[in-house]
Amino acid sequence: MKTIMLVEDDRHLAKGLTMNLEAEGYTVVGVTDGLEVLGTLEQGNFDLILLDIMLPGMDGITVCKKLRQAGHRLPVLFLTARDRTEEKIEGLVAGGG
Amino acid sequence: MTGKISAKSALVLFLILAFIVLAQTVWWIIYIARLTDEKVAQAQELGASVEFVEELHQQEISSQIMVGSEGVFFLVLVILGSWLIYRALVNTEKVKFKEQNFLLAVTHELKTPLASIRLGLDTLSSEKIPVTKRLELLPDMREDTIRLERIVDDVLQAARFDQKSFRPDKQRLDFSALVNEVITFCESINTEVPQTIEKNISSDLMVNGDESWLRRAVMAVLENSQKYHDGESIRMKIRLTAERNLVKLELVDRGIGLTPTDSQTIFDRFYRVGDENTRRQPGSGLGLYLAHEVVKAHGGKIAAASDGPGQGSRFTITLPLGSQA
Repeated sequence: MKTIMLVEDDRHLAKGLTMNLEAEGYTVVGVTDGLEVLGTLEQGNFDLILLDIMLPGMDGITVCKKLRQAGHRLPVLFLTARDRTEEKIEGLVAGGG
Repeated sequence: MTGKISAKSALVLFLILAFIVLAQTVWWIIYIARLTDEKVAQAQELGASVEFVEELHQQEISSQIMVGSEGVFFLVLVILGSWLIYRALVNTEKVKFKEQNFLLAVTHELKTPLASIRLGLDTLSSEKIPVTKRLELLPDMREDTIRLERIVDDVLQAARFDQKSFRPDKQRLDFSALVNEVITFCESINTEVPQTIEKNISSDLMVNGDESWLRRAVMAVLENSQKYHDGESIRMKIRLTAERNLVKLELVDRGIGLTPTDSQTIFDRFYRVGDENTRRQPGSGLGLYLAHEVVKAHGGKIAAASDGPGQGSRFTITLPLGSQA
């Protein structure tokens, strides 16, 4: 079974996403603070990270850069309300998709 | 962007001009002194009297004073111009930062509940999830709708304040009861950390005001202390007293505190303490702005003070005491 780390600080959005992903057969581990991502990653085997950008502690772009600097190659998908071209480029440059 | 470049270019130009004016003034003063020395030398060669030489020196001093005064006058004007341009540049940057923060906050505050509601609606029609579980999303969707309604109200009300079209519907009201009611409501909110509110409310203090808007102003101040806590607990001391012809509401919290800049700008429209990207608390930066405008429209004052970051904050609202029954 594939495991997804869901990094989202909005409780309602996280609940809805978790419900749907679990219904599709994924295991979901929820994280609400950007600073907790690297620590959580060390504690399990994850296949994908769904990462919000505006997060308490550390923003998603910085989290993604730190993940790549630490050598983690797993796919990161940004979950964000920001859709301007420069913001998409910023996410791709940081190592997300 | 073009405006910013123009203002910066103008500032550089003014500073170059100031340097030229200063150099030119110094050069003229030295030139006059040299010219006078030459004239004196020629006059002495021709056997001029001591009085004539003295007169040449007096003319030199007068010319130097005249050139020096003109130089200083222009220098002051150019420096003043440079300072005004610099101030305009700083203000433009501040406004830009606040509006950028507002845009980020509103994008987040509007799009997040909208995304949540849409996801909730899609989930409700999903047959892969048991009905009882799907229905758990309904209260969340309702909360999201209220959250959206609140931010839209705040933005619309801020626009009314901008157009100076806000007219409070003033009536004689029991401000003590209103404050107690707001405190009771805030105590009922399920906060993320434990909350303690100590209150000392003098009873029967009346004001002439718009009940709905004054409630919102008081609520904004309490909500601010609830949001910006120290991470462990929310502790507030609230005191309502009458001082001469004023009603004074004081709130002291043990939250994150304020920098001197925060204390001055916390009531500005769109102002939010900290970085939008790592925001822990929701909001648009309009709550305390609205509180400020409401209190001002009632002839009162609102102020914030703090001993610094990590030292808690103190908010004070003063309103004219209403006439007794």
